Amino acid sequence: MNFVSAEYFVLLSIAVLTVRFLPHRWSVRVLLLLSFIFYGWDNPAYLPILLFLGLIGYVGGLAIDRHRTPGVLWALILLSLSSLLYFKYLGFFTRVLSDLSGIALSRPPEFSVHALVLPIGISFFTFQAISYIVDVYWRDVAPERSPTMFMLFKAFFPQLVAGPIERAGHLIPQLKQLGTDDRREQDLALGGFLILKGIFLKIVIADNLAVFVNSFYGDIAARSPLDALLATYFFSIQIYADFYGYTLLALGSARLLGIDLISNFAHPYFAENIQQFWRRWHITLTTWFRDYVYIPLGGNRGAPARTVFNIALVMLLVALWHGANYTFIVWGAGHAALLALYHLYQIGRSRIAPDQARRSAGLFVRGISLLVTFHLVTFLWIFFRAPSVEAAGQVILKLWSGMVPGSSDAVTAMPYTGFYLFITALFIVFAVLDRATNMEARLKAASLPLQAAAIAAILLLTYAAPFDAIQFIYFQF
Amino acid sequence: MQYSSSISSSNRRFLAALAVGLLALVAVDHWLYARRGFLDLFGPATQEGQILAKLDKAPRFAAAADIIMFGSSFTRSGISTQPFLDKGILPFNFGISAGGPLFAYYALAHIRPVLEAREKKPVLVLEINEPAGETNLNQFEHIFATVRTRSALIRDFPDLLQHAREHDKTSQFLAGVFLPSLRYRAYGRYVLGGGRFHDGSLAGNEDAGGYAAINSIRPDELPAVEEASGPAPYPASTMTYIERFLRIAAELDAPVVLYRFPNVKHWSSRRTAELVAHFRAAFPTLNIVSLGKEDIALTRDDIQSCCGMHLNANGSDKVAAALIDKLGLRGDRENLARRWRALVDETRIPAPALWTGGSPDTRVAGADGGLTIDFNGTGKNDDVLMSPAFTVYPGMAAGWLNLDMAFDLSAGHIWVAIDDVEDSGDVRNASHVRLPQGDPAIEDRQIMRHGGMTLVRIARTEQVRLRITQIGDGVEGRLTLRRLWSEPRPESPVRR
Repeated sequence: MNFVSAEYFVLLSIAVLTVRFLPHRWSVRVLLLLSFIFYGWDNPAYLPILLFLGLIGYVGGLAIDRHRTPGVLWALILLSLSSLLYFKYLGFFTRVLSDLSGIALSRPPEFSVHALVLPIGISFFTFQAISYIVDVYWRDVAPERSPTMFMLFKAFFPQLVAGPIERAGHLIPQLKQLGTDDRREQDLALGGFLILKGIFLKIVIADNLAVFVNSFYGDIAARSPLDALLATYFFSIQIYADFYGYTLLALGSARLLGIDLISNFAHPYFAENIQQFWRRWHITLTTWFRDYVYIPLGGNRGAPARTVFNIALVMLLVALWHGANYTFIVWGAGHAALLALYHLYQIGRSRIAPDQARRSAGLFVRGISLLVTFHLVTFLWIFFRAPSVEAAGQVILKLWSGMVPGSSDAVTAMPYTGFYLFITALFIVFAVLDRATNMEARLKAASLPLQAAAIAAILLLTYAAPFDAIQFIYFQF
Repeated sequence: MQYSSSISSSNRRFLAALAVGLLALVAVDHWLYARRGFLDLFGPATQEGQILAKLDKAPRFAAAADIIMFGSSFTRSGISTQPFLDKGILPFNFGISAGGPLFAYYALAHIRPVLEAREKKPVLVLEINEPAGETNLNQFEHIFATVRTRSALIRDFPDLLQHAREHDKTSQFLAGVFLPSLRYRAYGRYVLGGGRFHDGSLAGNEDAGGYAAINSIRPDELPAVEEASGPAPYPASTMTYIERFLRIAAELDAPVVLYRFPNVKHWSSRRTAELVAHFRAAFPTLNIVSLGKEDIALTRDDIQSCCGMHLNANGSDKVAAALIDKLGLRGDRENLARRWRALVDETRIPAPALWTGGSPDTRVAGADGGLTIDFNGTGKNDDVLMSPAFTVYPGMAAGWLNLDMAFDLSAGHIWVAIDDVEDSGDVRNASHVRLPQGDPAIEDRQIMRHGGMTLVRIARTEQVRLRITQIGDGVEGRLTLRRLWSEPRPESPVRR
């Protein structure tokens, strides 16, 4: 079920009323039922996968609490990963093996990549399952003994299909307090505000730019270098507005129910270096990899070469998490290279000029750093968006041809470019306000007519969105 | 946990502001949708505009028409007006782009009171070809253009929801029940982008009978038609709405033709027979006639040149003729002009004598105020004549024209082009419309603009294109006649 849909509005309303008026025990059950409806709405066939992973997590948590051995831990991790490996990676790895060996491996028809439709959000709830098992193994959390409560933790609909990847230690205690919060007005107001923000980012910004970007990538050869440049910038904005918008809708929905989810973003496009970017982008995924992969591998405590290896391995996994495709691997490799270079630069800088390394840079340098970081990230998004590495290369060549006078092979110009630039300007204003001010406090401090006018203006802006709902980008992961 | 009263009050104020903001959205929705505010603002060049233009004039035509045809563009651009008029039969083509049985039902319900009042009921033609059952032919636009109140949407909620679910439009439909004006999201970005939208799908190219001609000819031979291996079941909601349509027809006691579009790739005569038998059994008192491929022999010259399967004017004539033959329709030629005139509001535009441009040598003013053009004295692509500016269509968006045209009363053929239109197909820029020759009711007028209809009479039209140019801010237009060919016009519709 899409967050930006009438049926979700109905489901969320029922959930809010449930938490408000039913006793806690029933609230938990009804919310679980609503979560199953949410997940199974478009394709009920995927529900068993969610239940399967829930069962593994529940039984696994109890089992590893009793038999705390690495063997049991790895068995449970592999079992949790089994669905993900089958649905997401089997076809890809078969293709990679085939490409490497130069032999077309014969596969039974049911193993065909095309035959497997990826269950929505599988990467998110698989990682959540693994984190729970590891946390129990590490004794960071106690195993949850109530199957209903555990399943609600797994399937809680606001965070089910695209995160944030919640940890048991953060979410389960809140679910146990469901309906007992006495800050209902505050929750409703904050939830409403976050949802409004999310709708603006998703419908007004992301979905509009998606029209341009999809059209460009649908026929790269026919487009001009200027279109390539605009599509590259627009996708950079689109993916952020889409994912941040989704996250705000998730946070807002949960907040209406009195639940506080972890935020996934901290103004990533204001990052002044690539390391900062990854600390601000998809925070629950990066902290997941940090806690469960990077630090266990030794983090940055070893020699520089070892740290670079750890970074490269983690970024390869991050890339593969996003999708089983060479494009994601190139994207991940690009980020790994930037992170490794930045790490080495930091080491060198602290050795050569330790005092300077501790001092913060001036405004001008910081501004330049911000722009460079943004453009590096934006450039690498080309690989993330392009359907193939060849297509990404085509886009890059097109960008290059635009920079070399006389080499342009401009063919057509995209229509309504002015409108998309207007949307971009709206986004920039939003991003700056979001970074520089507490928008919620500012809005609430305004008079009632002004607040109402601002809210009405945002709602009316949705008339400028495309008619057909555009799926959230991160739903595919 | 307690929190301070100031926090509480600011939260309450925000929630109140949220409620007011939502109410503002509902108010805008009401104005845009129920009051047709979007059309008022931006003109009728949308699919909704096309549907509403037809719905608005339908009661007038339903009161007089001998035959009313319901369906998609296969009907709208596939059953021509002229063969009926030649026989003295008054037709009304109620076909709408992408209109399926769902739209047909609501369209029939819309004119039902008029039909109930008539002693002699018209023949109702319902297109039931397979594409109407395909999943991509959703009736979303048609639902919201036709069913204009939430109460009506809710009354038919189960059937409409089923249709939406079958066509993967559930979310849009449910959202539309809350806020029907969300439909305008399809156009909002074009409006804000400062451009135009062309979702009108041939808006403006219909003749007075509701037929929108296509003039190109298929360049290659027709592919062989394959006998379909098995029945292609209609979606349940399509069957529901065919049955609802037939129920009204049965209650009106109006004869019905179930029409299956003849230019199909796959054909199952058995399927047609089964379908007709099914409906005959369901409505035993209804006179159901079946018309399909077996009744209409098509050739390459009857099919449009472009990508679609539509019939051109030749093919449309054949379908109309087949209908007349199959039903044994006989009209009243003597009274046709009187009946026709009753349907039309008249507004005169500048007399041709006032037109300028081109060489004066090519023009001969007639005693009746009309003008005869001698095209022998003109060159290819010459502008022959240009009218003074005149009011075309109040409320029309700049640069776009929805003329709802009917052209050429006496000379057989005329081309109409709307200037400065981004043409994506072979039809939008050109319309080929014919009206009864020598109709005494309109013979004395050369060019007229009537509420929703423009009529043109030109003595020799074989090599003329009529262009609408210099459209002002929705109120003024100018007509230009331009010679198109240096050679005599071919007999059949023009190849592009």
